[in-house]
Amino acid sequence: MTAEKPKLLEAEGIKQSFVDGAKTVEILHGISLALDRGELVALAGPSGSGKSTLLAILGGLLLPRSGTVRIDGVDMITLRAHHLSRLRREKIGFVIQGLGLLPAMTVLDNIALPLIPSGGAERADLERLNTLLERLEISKLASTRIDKLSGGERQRVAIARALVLDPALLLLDEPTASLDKANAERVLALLTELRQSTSNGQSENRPGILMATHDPRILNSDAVDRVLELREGRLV
Amino acid sequence: MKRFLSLLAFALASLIRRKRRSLSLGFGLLLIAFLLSAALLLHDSIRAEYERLIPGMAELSVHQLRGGRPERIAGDALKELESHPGVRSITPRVWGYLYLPPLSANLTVMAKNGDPALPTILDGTLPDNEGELTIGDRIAHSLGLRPGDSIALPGAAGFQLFTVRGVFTSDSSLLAGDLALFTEKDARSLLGYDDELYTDLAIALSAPSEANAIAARIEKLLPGARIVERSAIERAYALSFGQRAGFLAALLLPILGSFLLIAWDRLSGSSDEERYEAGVLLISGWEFRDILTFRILESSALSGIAAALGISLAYLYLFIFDAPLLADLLLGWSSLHPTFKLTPMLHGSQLLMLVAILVLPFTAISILPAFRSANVDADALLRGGR
Repeated sequence: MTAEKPKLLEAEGIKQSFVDGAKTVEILHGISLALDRGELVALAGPSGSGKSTLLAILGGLLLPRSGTVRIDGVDMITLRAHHLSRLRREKIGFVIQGLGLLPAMTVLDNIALPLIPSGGAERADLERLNTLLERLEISKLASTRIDKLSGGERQRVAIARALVLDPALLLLDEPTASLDKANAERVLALLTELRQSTSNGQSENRPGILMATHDPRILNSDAVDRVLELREGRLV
Repeated sequence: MKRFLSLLAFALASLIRRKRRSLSLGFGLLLIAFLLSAALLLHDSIRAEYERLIPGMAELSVHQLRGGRPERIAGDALKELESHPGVRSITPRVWGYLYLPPLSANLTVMAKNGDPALPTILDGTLPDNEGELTIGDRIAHSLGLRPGDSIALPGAAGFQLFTVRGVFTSDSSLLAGDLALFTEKDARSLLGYDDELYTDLAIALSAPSEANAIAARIEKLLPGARIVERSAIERAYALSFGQRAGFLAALLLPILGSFLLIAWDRLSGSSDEERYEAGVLLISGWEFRDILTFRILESSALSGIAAALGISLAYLYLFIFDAPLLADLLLGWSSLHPTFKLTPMLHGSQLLMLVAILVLPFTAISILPAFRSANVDADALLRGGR
């Protein structure tokens, strides 16, 4: 008898609230969801429905009021801060809504940011970096400053940075919100390609992708495996 | 180590990226580093000068006073003290000052009397015959004199011609800078001294602890004489230089305080950008301690570079350019003397102290803002903050 392999991401009973003056506002009312490797799942919902907060909790950036979040079977909520940071670093790639790029730095320096705390880019990292740059069609922009790039190019840089440590889980917040049709399709094609292949070609290591979006171009796309809809803090 | 070097490289790159902020903070730090270093190096250099002088001084020197004014003293005035068990020797000395109009400065004229405190000769020999002199390097430099050259000096009975036999050097400019050594006959002639009368008597003691007892004996033998103990000169020097250093510290402390306040203000004021950057780093997989280390390295690097430049500039200012302005304020050096050249000195302990004064407070003061910016709410950034 073999133990069942844990899902890449499992969240159960996630509740979150914040205090606004004298009253407590409930944002998430017991969210449960799961994601497997190679899955591309969209988290839909209007602005203010709690999508970004849920992403922050699933990514280990915010502690929920209650509930559990497991990555590859490891409960993130009970981990000590140092171990949680390490888990985040090793398993999760983030692309935030504002992209979070450092405008005075070059494309390459922004993408290499995650490598710095482990001592900088080694040969294997450089190879992966080059592969990523080529795959995302930004090789020629490597030494260009971020503030000289178009919106679509910036988006690809943010995705490249999230992928540089080869994460198991990729979380994206509104990745196409400010892009035109061509660039939005390009990002979607890229994500589709990503979940079908890995840097080392092994299917069991394909990343699972969860993206918060209310972009109909994505929600109606065949590339998306499932759409989870969040309304007023509940999955419907 | 790899992690540390990688974070250090990122911190240096970050300083370069934020040129304007780095330059304005760095300039303030550089200025304070320069002032503090100049004050400390100057103080230590002067202290080293007088500490070199002290061992060569007589334990007691005796001057005859008349009506409160110095009077020449007979060479055998303390003859009966020579047999005192605590006294090693009594040396009558002829010395005085001679004004040199071309330099607008005084020359210290001294008769060769085997003084053990005489500085090392740089070039040439001591004067053996009448009409010869050996001079200090600063005077020689000012007048462009070398051994073999001649110089006419304005003595008591008119100008006298001398040949330079040698040029003194010494680690101490205070001792050698304005010195001119002659035969006793020439020194008397220049200063207008009669035979058998001397400027003072230098007394060497076999037991320096006896100085007080012997001074009391001298007072009885020579009523009204002024007896100067070496320990009193030592105390006067220490007090004088201590006061000057204290004066400078009193001036510098408010400057340092103001600067630290400015630094604090700047470090706190730029927190929006730093908090954004910290959020980006956190989302890029950095841990809190990585961000904190990076910020501390950034502050240390900035203050370290400014301190290194400030100390180097202070060294050049003091020992190459002779400390204009500050020398007038601190040295109290008489304009009647020829130029005074500080002896260059820079020790590891001074460097360590300067680094501790300059780098540690700035780094320490930046820890709280660094902590605040590293402890960022990444959730806010994720929800579309800047």
